[in-house]
Amino acid sequence: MRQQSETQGRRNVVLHAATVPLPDDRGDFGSGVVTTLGSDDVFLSLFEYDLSSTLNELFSARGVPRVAPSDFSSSGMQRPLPGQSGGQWFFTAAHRPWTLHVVLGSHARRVSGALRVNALLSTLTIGAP
Amino acid sequence: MSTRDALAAVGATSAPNGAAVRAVEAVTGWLEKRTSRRGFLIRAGVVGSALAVDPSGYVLKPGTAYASVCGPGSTCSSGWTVFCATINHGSNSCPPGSIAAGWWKADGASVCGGKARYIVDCNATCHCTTPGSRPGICAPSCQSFRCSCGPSGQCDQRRVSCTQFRYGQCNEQVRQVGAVHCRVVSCTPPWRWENCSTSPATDNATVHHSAPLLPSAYTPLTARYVALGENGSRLGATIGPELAVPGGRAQRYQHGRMSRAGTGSPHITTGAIAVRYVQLGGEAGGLGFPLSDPITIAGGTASLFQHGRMSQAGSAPPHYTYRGIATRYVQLGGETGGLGFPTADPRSIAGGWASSFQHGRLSWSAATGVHHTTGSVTIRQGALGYEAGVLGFPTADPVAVAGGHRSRFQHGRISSSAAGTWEVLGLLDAAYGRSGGEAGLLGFPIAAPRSLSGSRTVSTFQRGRICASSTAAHWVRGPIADRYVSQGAEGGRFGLPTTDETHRTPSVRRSEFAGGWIEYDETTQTVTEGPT
Repeated sequence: MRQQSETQGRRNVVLHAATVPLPDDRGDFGSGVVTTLGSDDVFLSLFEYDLSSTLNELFSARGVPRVAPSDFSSSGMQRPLPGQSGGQWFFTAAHRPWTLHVVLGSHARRVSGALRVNALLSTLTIGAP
Repeated sequence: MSTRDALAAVGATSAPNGAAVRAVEAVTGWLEKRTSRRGFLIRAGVVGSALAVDPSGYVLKPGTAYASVCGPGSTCSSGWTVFCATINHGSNSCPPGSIAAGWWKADGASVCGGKARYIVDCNATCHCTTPGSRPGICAPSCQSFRCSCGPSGQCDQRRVSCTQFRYGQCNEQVRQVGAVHCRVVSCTPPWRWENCSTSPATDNATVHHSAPLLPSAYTPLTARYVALGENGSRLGATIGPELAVPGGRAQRYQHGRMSRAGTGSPHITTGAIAVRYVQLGGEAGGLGFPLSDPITIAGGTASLFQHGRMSQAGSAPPHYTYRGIATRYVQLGGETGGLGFPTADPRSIAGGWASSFQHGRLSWSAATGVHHTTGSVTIRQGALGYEAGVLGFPTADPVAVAGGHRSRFQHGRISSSAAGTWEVLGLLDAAYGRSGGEAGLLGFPIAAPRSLSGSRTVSTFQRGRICASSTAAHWVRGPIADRYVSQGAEGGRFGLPTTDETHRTPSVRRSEFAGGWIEYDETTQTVTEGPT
């Protein structure tokens, strides 16, 4: 987990989880990581926005999402790479606005990848700001 | 660093907001159970300041080294998205059909003087929404652009409208957008010039991405642009890279231009003045480099250049003044002086130049220098063909005289009073001068000169008249002039006067004519004529 720069007197959170080692120098949405994913690997980024953003339509979905294999596409990444697959979910949880970005090492194995991500998400608890 | 240690570190640095740590306590527990699995790790750290500087990057990779390259990942297959400048006619702005949808920063950017560079994604707008679809990205069927690569013939071959991703900090009120159409770059945080929030995302892997149509180095022009607020400034987005121009550098923007002569300070021109400046050749044109930023004045704006000045009254087209005329214009108060704003660009006239203004005119010739006319005199000057007409160029600025004012020209004068504004030309003017001019014996002219048969001309005044042949002119006045007129004037038996009025005795005034004489005795107030 890392914390972004302080804005408006508060630090926003970024959580990274992956089935590969996370390099220190990596982008918030997986730059520097996703190129190392094997076909069974997954990368997950949970990125928090300013609290005031909860009022906006982009964050109108409520609760931590569960992902479905059909949610993934080969172009759904910050930087699409051959064979990989990605998806993105905007939501508000605990009055905090987030986006969840998931990259799967293989679009062909998105069913098993989605299961692994949902297993992780089922353990996620977000506290109030 | 272990996960627990990492969380401890985060907690230590986020003491004011312990909830931020609690947000992920559960998931880290899940992760900890799996740290023994090969390759499944999580590491934590604290991202530095949004404006953190990477001095080494700046030193090792000076901006000028990137002047002609697109940086890493510039192929279409690299997965990165093209820069908007590449596909938007050089404009570093979101093209029509796209909006800012999110941003990230890359620290230690040489093009930003070693500070953070901000990259804003312009995502395509959606023309429909799919019922039940989640916020973020609309379905491909609702997107207008087709996925493609950057245009051929240049190195920014990155993808156009391919990536279905949204950074999310901009235009959050828009539920769905399309693919990332292109990228805009700035050294100024996007929340200062776009509808974006401040949630910082970082991707330093993109710090050296560039395109041929983007400014490529942190030059004095870039520094000035940054100080002005970049895309949020009155200049708007950059158009193309910085340009080498004769004698200096220049940068184009959506709404203006910045120029720097040699090692001098950069100055901007904006709006219609900038457009006209470029039409006139810009820095290489007659006006040269700007010497000031736009000057706000009552009723309009102006810009000062090396060799002139350009002024714009309200929303009217701007006009410029040039060299000596511009210098004199400023001496006279410029736009807020007696002349007002220029109403036309300088006009070349045989032997010189002239500029027209709201309330007058300035003219220059090598023989006469720079002089102006104002008000009704200028109107009369125009009726007579200005400098190319019978008067020629003005030889002096307007002079106030009792009851009016006078402007002198190469071939005469224009005198203005309650009796009107009229010219006195050639030999008539010489005779008028002998009579003392406007403050003299004849007073102000009351009509335009009239041409008579036989190359004769006559001008009439408040207290007399001047009659001229092709070789000489003489004046008559008062009761003598009245008698002369009653006898048919130039067409009567007296013909033209052959002398100015003289004193035959201290009390008797006399005018000689081709056909006789007329005298006036001031003592007896009688008029006599001869020969009888």
